[in-house]
Amino acid sequence: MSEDIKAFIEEINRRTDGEIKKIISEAEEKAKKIIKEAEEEANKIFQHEASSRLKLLRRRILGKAEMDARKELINAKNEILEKIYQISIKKLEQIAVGGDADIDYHDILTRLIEEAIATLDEGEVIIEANERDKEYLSVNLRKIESELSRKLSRNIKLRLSNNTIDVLGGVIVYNPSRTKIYNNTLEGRLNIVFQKYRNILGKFLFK
Amino acid sequence: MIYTSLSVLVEAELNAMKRIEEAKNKAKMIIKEAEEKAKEIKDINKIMQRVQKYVDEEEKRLRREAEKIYESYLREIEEIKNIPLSKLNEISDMIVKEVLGIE
Repeated sequence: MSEDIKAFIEEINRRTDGEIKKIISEAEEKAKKIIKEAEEEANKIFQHEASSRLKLLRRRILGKAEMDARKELINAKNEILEKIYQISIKKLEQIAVGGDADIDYHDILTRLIEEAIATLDEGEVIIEANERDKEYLSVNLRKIESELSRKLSRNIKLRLSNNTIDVLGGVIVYNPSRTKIYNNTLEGRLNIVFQKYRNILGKFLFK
Repeated sequence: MIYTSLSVLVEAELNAMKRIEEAKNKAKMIIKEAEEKAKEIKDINKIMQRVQKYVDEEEKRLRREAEKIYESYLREIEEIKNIPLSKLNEISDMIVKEVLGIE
């Protein structure tokens, strides 16, 4: 074989090797691209599905745990506040029957009537109270009347209602036409104080 | 002599064509395999199985997290439940004084 022929054959082989290399490498590139695109598409589906299911799951599990726990916390707080309320009721009950040597309930009753009259700004008022307080008031009405007239510097006329109210103590006071009513019962005042201090109590007790 | 040389060259050229044809077939095979693999990757059932597995794992993690949240609240609830009666009495005294209008 001549040298020229050998050179030709070598050239053919070199060209062929190059072309084969190109064909395979292009195929490999294309294959890589196909797989990459498939992975991207699969990941996109995965992300979309997983994130929407996770969102629901998070809301269901964590949201419920948080909600249940908060509910229990609020219940515990309310139970404590209710306990304080009940203790206060018992103390007021004791005071109203004269069970506390340091507190003169009759003085307080007179002050509750005074506060009601001062707020209503009426000369004549009707008083409702429980059976026990009515008994005391019926005996002492004139004395209280003159004491309040002196204190408020005007003539005050007190009348005791035939109605008896079921309260721990205190009074409901109104003018004869019943257009102005002042609830100064112990329960009424306790509820107002509780409302007023509820938030402060919460902060003080549940730091 | 010339005839022999030409036949050698033709044979070399034919051999080259054959090798190229084989390479093209191999390339087709590479792409076909890739397409099959891609089909497998995009198989919705397989993706959903992966999603389920992932969600199951996440659910376990979220349940542990939920327990921690609940426990942290429970500690607070216990503290509240254990507020001593003396403190409740103290507060009640203040409230009663306010109700009665006593300084």
